[in-house]
Amino acid sequence: MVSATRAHFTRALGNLQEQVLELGSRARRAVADSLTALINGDVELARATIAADVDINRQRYDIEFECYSLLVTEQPVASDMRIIVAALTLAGELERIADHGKKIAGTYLRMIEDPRPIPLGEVPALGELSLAMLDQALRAFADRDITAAEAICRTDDQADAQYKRAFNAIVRQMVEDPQRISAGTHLIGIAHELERVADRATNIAERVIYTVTGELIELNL
Amino acid sequence: MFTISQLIKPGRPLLKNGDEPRPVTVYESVSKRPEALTNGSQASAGSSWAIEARNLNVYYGDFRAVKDINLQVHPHKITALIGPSGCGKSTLLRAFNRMNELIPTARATGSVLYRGQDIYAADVDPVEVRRRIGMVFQKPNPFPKSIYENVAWGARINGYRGNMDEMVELSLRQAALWDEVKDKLHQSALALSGGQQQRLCIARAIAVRPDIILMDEPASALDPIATLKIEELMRELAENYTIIIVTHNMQQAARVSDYTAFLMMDADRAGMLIEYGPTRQIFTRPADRRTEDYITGRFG
Repeated sequence: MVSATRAHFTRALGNLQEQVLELGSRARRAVADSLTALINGDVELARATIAADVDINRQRYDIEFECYSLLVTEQPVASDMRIIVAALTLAGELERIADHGKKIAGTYLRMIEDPRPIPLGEVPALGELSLAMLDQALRAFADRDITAAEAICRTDDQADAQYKRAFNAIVRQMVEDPQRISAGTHLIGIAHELERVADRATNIAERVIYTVTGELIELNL
Repeated sequence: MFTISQLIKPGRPLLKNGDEPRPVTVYESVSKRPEALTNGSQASAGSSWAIEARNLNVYYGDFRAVKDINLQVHPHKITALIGPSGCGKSTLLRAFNRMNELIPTARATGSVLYRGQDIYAADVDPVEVRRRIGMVFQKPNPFPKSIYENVAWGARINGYRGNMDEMVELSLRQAALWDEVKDKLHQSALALSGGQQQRLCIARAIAVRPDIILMDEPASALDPIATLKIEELMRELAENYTIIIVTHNMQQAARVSDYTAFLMMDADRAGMLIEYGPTRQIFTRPADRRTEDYITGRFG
């Protein structure tokens, strides 16, 4: 029997990281599925995305409770403390990312009732970029990779630019065809949700940097 | 504090609930083990708890040290007893293997059920109780003998007839000490560090294959690293044994235990159980205000 000092706690930290990554994968799926529903006109997928949110919320609270428990029972310091605090922040960010997916799905379901639909334009590309950033952030967390985390900052500038292009294109269509104002407003809402996903990916990257270096920095300037 | 050698030295009288002393020897106990305390099949039918106190009161003379304790200990878990000094933690711990009886004026009322059987019943041999429910003390107390002999001793006087070398190795491995001592088994145990001595005492305690290990402040005399090793060892031991630990160190209780019992003194100075539950719950949202005040350092 090997008795590495604090092996039990080390295992608990590993489990915590796995739970965070699992939540990340579910949050990602919420955004990806809502985007697919929007692009393919898949009403069922949109409804399933909304229904899945309950479990995601519950998992977020499970992780939170696990973090609180580890904080009080293990009295973590230094990098151990930082991992737990990061997990706490990430759980919140990921749950909100899933909420963005849920909102996109809900908005899509309202959009299809509009008599005059609107082309999606730049929105799918914005979605792809946001999802890529989320993937990159989660990988950086899994690998404790600060180089990858810092790179997300640069990608966020692209996401902001992409959002502006999408926004301008939608407004242009609404100006040209006022009957599209209702659908256009919904689509701007969706674009905004996707832009927020990108922002939250940046927040996750900041926490990765904090976990590894202990520095609290703002990447999303 | 008593050493194990004092406890089960042949011929030492063991008091029973303040009755007349009755001489009991460990040699006797091997041949006269009470049925329910030796028969595994009967035992498992008794209770799903590892050990259970029911309306337990312990007195030292006229003074009631703990009162009306009802506590159900989960098997293969670590249960911590915490509370201010003098609240009866150690008294309660010692009541779980009748160790209090070694104090002449001590007596207990109520019952302590081990596998469904009251360990205070008239026909139960306290020596057998202490073999099933072992104890590790605050200060490491190895005998002035070799490392090997320290571990082999308890098993030998309990009539162990298997391969002693294997038994010693297994016990030392379970106590996470084997790798450090395997090349010096016949050197004096007193040459080991404090942390190693305490792990040796744990090896000695598990050599007689108990079900439950009681630990009274097992790490309070050790440095921080040795303390963490003992705590990690407790986690490993909990896979095979039920552990009850008394500790003054609240952080240790939080780190190491699955369940926590909080005791404090009542107005009559008798220790009472205030709250008992999963450690994570006790330390994140205790139900009783007194528990909250104690663990947040508001009193005690």
